[in-house]
This record gives sequence, C-alpha cells and structure tokens, in this order.
Amino acid sequence: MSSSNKDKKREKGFPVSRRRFLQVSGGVAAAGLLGAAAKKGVASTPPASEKKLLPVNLPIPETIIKKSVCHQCPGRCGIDVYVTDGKVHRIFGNPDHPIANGKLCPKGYFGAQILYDPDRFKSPMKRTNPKKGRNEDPKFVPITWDEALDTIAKRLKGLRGKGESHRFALCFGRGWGASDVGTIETFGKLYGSPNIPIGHASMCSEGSKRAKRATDGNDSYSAYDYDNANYILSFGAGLLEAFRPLNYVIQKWGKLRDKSPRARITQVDVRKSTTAIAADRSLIIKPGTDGALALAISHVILTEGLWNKKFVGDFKDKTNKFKTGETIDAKQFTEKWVSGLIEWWNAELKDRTPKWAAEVCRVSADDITIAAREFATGGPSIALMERGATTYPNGVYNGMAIHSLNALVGSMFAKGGLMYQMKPPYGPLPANADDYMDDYAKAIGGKGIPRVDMAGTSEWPLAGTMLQEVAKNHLAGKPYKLDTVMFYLTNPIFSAPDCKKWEEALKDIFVIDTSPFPGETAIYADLVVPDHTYLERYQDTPIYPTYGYPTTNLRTPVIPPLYDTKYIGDTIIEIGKRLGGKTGEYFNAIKDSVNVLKHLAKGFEKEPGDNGVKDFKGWEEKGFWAKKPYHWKQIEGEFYEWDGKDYNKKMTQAEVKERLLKTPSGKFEVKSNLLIQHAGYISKKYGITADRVGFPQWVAPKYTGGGDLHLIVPKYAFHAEGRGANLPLSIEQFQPYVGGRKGTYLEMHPKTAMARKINEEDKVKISTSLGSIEAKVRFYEGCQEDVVVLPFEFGHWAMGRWAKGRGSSNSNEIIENVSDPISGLASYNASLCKVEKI
Amino acid sequence: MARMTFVMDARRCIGCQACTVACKAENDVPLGVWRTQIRSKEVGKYPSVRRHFYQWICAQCGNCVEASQNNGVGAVSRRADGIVLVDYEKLTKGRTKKQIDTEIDAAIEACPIGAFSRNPVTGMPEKCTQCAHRVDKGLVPACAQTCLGRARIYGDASDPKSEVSQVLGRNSARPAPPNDCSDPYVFYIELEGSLVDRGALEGFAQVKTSDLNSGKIDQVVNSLGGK
Repeated sequence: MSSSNKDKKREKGFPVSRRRFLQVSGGVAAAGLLGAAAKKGVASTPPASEKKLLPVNLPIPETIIKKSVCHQCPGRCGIDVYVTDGKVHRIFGNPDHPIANGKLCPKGYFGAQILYDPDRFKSPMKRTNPKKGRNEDPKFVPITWDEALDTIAKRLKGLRGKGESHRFALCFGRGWGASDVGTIETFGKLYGSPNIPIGHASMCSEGSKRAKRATDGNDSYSAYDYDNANYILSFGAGLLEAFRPLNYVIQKWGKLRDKSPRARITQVDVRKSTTAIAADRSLIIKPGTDGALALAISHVILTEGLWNKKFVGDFKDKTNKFKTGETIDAKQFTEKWVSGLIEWWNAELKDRTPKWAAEVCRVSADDITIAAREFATGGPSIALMERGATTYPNGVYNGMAIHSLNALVGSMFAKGGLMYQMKPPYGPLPANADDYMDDYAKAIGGKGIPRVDMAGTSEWPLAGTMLQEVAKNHLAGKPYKLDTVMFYLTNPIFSAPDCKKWEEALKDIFVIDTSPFPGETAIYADLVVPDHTYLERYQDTPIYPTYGYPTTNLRTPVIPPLYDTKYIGDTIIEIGKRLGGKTGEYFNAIKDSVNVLKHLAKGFEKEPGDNGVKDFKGWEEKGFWAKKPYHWKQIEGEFYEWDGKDYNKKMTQAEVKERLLKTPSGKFEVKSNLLIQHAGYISKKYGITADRVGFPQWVAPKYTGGGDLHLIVPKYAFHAEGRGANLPLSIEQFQPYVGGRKGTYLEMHPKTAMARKINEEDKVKISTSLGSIEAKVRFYEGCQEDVVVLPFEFGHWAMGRWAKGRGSSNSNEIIENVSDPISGLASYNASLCKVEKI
Repeated sequence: MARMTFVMDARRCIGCQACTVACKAENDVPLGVWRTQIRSKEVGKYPSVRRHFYQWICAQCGNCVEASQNNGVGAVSRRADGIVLVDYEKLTKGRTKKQIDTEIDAAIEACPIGAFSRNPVTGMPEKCTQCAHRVDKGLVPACAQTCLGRARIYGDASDPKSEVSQVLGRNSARPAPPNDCSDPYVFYIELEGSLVDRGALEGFAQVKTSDLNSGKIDQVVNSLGGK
C-alpha cells in the first residue's frame, strides 16, 4: 500500500465500514492503522524454515536505528527510533541510556503518531478572520517564512521604537535546554523586555523548588538515590503515575520491591491512587494537610530521640529534652548542619503531636507515630513531594515541613538520600551576549518596568514567574496591556486556572503560536510559526534532577522535517537577525541552532562522557553525554568531595555552603533566612506574626470554589505532554479508565454519590464559583467521602480530531486563580465544588 | 527443544500499560483490539482498597490449533518452540470467504480467554505471536522488553540457565484459570484467582465474524473498548 493511500485512510478515520472489510479481507498483508508505519518487521529476517509461518512475510528493507530523546514528559529518556524506508515505525528505549535502560513508559511509544498526525500545521500561516472566539474559524492562509518572520520583526521593531518593548511577551512551557530557552533568554536580554521569557513553572511545580530554596538554598527539584534507599515517604507524589522520569521511577520501584531487605514505601495521598494502592502503607489525608502530617512526624522523631545526631547535632549533655509542649533553652543544643532547630521546636513543633495532626489530617495518631518511627529508623530514608503537597495556598510551608524530614534523618546528600543535579560542561557560544547589548537594552533594566505577571515585584516577591496572572493583568491593564505574545510549548488558554480569562485576553493581543498542531492557542493565533515535532529537530536536553551526576542528551532529527516547519531556536535566531543593529549582529554570529549545539559540545573535549562522547558527532551517535559520579557525599555528618577515585576530600564549612547547602548560614535552615527577609509580606499574607515566618509550620489552607466536596485534579500515566488528548493510541488505552470515548469520569465514593441520588455512569454537573463543567460518575471505593477526582487534560475544544467531542470536562475552567503567596504556584487542588445529577 | 515461555509476576505489575502500548506499536494492532492488556480489579472498602492486576495475553495453549484443523485447513499451527502462529497464505489461498470465516470463527470460539480475535480492518486473525519476528532475532517480545517493573519475564523454559527457568524454580507459578487452556506456555506468580473470572477473560479483543457482519465492530472501534 502506498503511503499516500495510507494517509488517506488515516484521515478517513473510523468507523470501518463493512464494505471496507470486504474489500480488504481477501488480502494477505494485515495493514495496521497505527502510525503511518509501513508494515514491516523489526530489522529481522526470519529463518527460512519458519518463514511461512510468520504473520508478516514481506521483504524487509534495511532499518536504521537513530538515537534521540523522548518528548512525552520532562524525564528525557534516550530513545532508539527505528526508521525504515524513511518512515518512523518503532520507538524503543535506548538500552545504553541511564534513565531509559532500554525501556519506555507507555507514553514513549506515541512518537510516530505525533510525527504523522494528519492535523499538523504544514507551514507558517496568518489569520484572515479578524474575529476571535472558540467557534470562530481563524481562516488561516499559508504564508512564507520570510513573510512570517518579517511580520514579527516589524512588530517588535515598532514596539521598541515607541519605547514599549516590554509589551512583547514570550511564554514557554517545557523548556529543554540551551538551544531553545537559552536562545530565548538571550533574545529577551538583547531586545529588552522583562517578559521574555515568562515560564510556566508557577503552573507546574514551583512550590517544591521554593521550599527547598527556603531550607537548603537550592532553588531546584531534587535528585534521589533510589538504589540505596530503604524507605520512601512520599507526600502525594504520583511515583507510578506522573513523577518524573516515570520510566526511571517505575524501574526503581520494581528494584526497591525486589531487593533484600525489601525497601518500604509509605504513600501519603488524598485518595487511593495507583501509587497509594501499590505502596506498603498509605495515609489518606484531608487535601492540603501534608504539612501538618510532616510536622507531627518531626515531633515524634524529636521526642523519641530518633533524629540523626551526627547531621543535626545533639544536646550538650546528650539527654533528649524534646518533651511535648515544653520549650527548650537553645543554648543546651549544639547544632551541626541544621540551623534553628530549637527555635523551631519552641515556636511550632512542641505542640504538633500525632494526636493534633490526626484531627487535622483525619488519619489515626498511631499510624503517624508508626510512619515516623519507620522513617527515622528504617533508613536510608527519603521524604519526597512535588505538586501533590504544594498546589495549595500553604504549599511552600507544606513543602518545607516535608523537606525538613530529610534533614532530621540526615538524608541530605547521603547514600540512599537525596541531592541536586549536576550540570553538563557546555562550551561557550561563539558570541557573548553581554557584548551586544545596545543602549536601549542596557537602559531598560533601570526603567523599573515590572514584568506583566508582577513576579519578583512587591506583589509576588518570591515568585520567579506567574504565567497564570498574565491574562488577568492584561485585561485590567495593570501594570500594562500587552501588544504581542508568543507561545512555545504552553497552552494556558486551556491549562491555566480560570482559563476562560485567557479567551478574553487573547482577543486584543497579537498572538503568535509556535505549536506544530492546532491547539486552543492556535484558534486565537494571528500568526502561526510551527515548530518541528520532536523527531524532526536537533535540541539539547540536559536532564531534570534525577540521579545527580551530569547527563545531557541530544535530540536529533530521525527523518528530515515532513513539512515547512522551523525549530523554535532557529525561529528566534532568524527574528533576531531581522531586528538588525547589535541584536542582529549577535544572532548573525550565533548563525543557527545547530551551530549553538556544536559549540556546547566543545565542552565535552576536556571531559569526555563515560560513553566516550567528546564532540558533537559522538553526541549525535550515542544520543547522550553522561559522566559518573555525583561529586559530593555526606557521610555520618561530614561532607566529602570526589577526588577522582573516591569521596576522599573532606569539605570545609565554606565549601559546603558554596556547593551544597547554599543558605546564608551554610546549613539546612529550619528557620529560613530567605523567608525572614520577606517577613512583612508573608506575615500579612498568612496572618501570622513576623517572628514566626521562617519556620516550616502549619497554616490551614484556604479552599476556593465554595462547595462541599474537594476537587482533586491529578495527572495520569497516559498524559503525554501537551498532545496526549489527540493521540489515538493514548486515548484508546486511557479513555476506558477515565470515561470512555465521549466523556470523562469523576471518581466519587459510592456513599457520596448515593446521598445525591447519583448512580454509576450518571452525567453530573460539577460547579464552583466560576461556573460548571460536566462529567460522568464512576464509583470508587478508594475516594474519601468528601473528595472527588477528575483527571486534568480532558475537555479540549480544539487540539485535533481525536481530542474533540469528549465532553466539557476541563477542570481548569472552574478552578479559581489563587496561588501560594510564597512560590506563586497555582493552587490547582485547593478547590471545593458541588456535584449534582443532570 | 526450546519452549518459549512467559512468566508474569503479578506482584510486580502496577498496571502502567506500557506493555499494552508497546505491543500495539510493535505489531500495528488496530484500535479496538488488543493482543495483550493489563486488566485490573479493585477490591475492598475504603480505606483498605487494593488493586489486582492480570496480564491478559494468549497462553499459546493450542486450542485454536485444534479448532483450525477440525474446521479448515489448519492454518493455525504451533511452531517447534511452542509459539502458535497463523499462516495467512494457507488460510486464504484458493478458499472462499465462507471457508475462511468458518476456520477463523472456530478458532475464536475455541479460545477460552478471548485472545484469538479478528483484525477489524482486514478481517484476518489477530493474535499474540510472542513477537516471533523479534524472538527469531534473539530479542524478547516488545511487551517484555519494555516492562518497567520486570513483571514480564520471557525466555526458554527448557534451558535451565534462562531467567524464566530460574524464576519458575524459585516461585510457585501456575497458568491462569480456568483450566480450559490445554497446553499453556504462560505462567503467573501470585495471580489473584477471583480476577480471572469469565468476565475478565472474555475481553475487548474478541471480535467475531458476526460482529463484523452486524456492524457491531463499529461500536467496538468507536468506543475504543470503553465501557
């Protein structure tokens, strides 16, 4: 079957008519519908004797295996892409890659469907219908790249001419590395806009980063030594559903369960999630109370004398004076690597008993005590969290309470504990951006123009980015109205809390979308400059915090781009060139994104990877550069540095402060200097006294929405990044679990449903103060009676033919835009709702 | 003589469905039918809810082989290493549609677990081949290759050194009930018996000629196997 016929058939889609069946039933070859893959085996020729029994006995042309990097989550698994006759037909994990280990999670296999998606944008396009709306056809017409880039450059020059360069914003979601976000950041600096870029971290998992910065000085996610851990205490982390890298974490989960002695896992969650079900023990708590539980665990660890004395320090007379309800004189305690412990105890912990937490969290006090003892004595132990515990208005305090557990048991930088991720030794770029700043760009910083999202201003002093505020602020004209916004791998018009605001805001903004696919943003776009899909582009992807030692992958085009698309890095460089002046000079010197990557790779010359990669060519061939080991280790309360053979070099206090515990005190701060610097702001926001702001503490979360049931919106394992809603293979496996072809399930406890006269499969209206959405009900015994669960990602109104027509169940439409005042993380899980039968 | 065998360790499965997707991608299995799947069942009352997993897959038992011989030309046959495959040429060459359908339907009927079905696009038989094209190259099937928790172990049970043999030696493994599979090559460790009732066995993949003729297949495909 020729490829064009095949494409036609794909576009026709289902259903398959009986006539069609009759037409093809006489044929021998079973033509699959998945991917546009030619029906060929893996590069294998069957032995002659078995040949006639094989289901497929067509001649098998040569298959080339290309190395690249997955794009379905931020995990960055190395992949082997099988290309036969110029067609991608299989994707497997790269067996050499330290994250993938030859395996992939279910999302990894979707690649070919993204590449051959029949709805892809095939060239730059401009809008011809000036009216914007959900149901307005943009009436796109194809244009040339020259026209598209000139249009953008002209707009940007115009804004700069009026001194309004800040009215251009570039919002990005998944940034991968130096060749995309790195280029964008430099562009912002040279062009002169505080809004280039506005990242999406405040809608992702900024809370855990800020909790870590407040306590140990690292504004980062953590890397974990799962191999040597013996106890995992997970606070709402979807280890088997969404934690990154999912592939790696599930592999490690298998290992943890298999070794002797078997590692134990306790899952704290608000429902019986897949992870909670598979864990040894689960503590099902009231949403948003993770911090209270963590504080009570700390209370038990201290009162029972179970803390790691070599890391934390001890009482001078070696007798434990932590007694419930009693304050202690700080002079009696000698601190080692934890700063402010006695003050924390006196101000907060002394009353945070398991009995107290049992009431707040709704679990038994005995279970808390047992979890605390197991955690403190069954080590090495890790306490971990991401969105589950931090997407509440008290997120950072929850996170700090959780992360402090790692300090109390001495897991920081220890074997079987947690650490941070080392960065790859990239070489310098061909030009230094600082040398190309013109007077305008130099002056802009001094003009006091805030970011449009107000991140880093007195409104959100500790937030790095506040993407969810952009639409609201634009509509209010405060601090100013935007003129032009470009989007890269983010779709806040669907994914931001109170996302309908974006539909209003984008009406009078010139919108540039870079997505290769028609999503909701594109419906509002004035200009589309489509990116390559991930299997068509070069891109560096240094890994997320995973295991500590540095690793960076190279995404390579496994086939030439199918359509007239352009890599975002090159789109930015080309716009830069067209801006002229010093910016133009810089981007002419940079040349293109492959040139950027080649310069980055020069850094490997001095430090070849463990797999022998020492230049761009090797990087491309192997798909990654990685160099073991992680360089630092805390052993029994002392820090050591790798000297090339072992952790032999003992570190001074100053070295620890510079490299590992980067707080002002150089210690793990349970009295956070960072928060104390912002005491006025924080005490006002939470209504607590200024002397308390530095401590990890219990602050009751304010729930939004105004209903009687907690609305929890988790991510599931089939949620492929950004495109899962339109991938047939994903939807096919996912949909029966989350609601079938035409709807989405709302998980509900049978009792709760019965009380509302709701039966399984009934259609219901889920309402909050912002409005309502619809879903079908699925009874689930694992739900708390006042908790309902609706996975996000569903209810798309654009996105392609597969995403459409599955009901209006986008949870983001009814979740209020309320954020944690410290991190700025949107409180996605803090909403209450009402559920009624339709 | 090689005896290619799967051992499914239900203790290690968490139901991520990576195997399901890997199989579909590897074998171009159309939407609406499956060659393998993780089926799960929730048991217990809150908060003691547990989930059991069943790695549903063709047991290579040979029931369909017999049915195919008795009702046609024996297009379904067992290889020396135990893998049951369909010879499409033998099935179709010089035969009427009715003859072909009779043979396929007999095989579908003979399968106790619904693992022999029809490809809704071509109307041809659809069953697990244990990725014979990969096995012949010394690779393991796509599902076992990707299994993250190592809950699927594949190999030659007649080789005492193989991982499969060792796992079988260490654990008590049994075929999935019911015991209608005559000569199964797939074994389970700690499979929850109640899960593998008829309902769970007669799964999504069982597409029959009558379905194709009645138009029911449209529903199967459209609903994507959903409830």
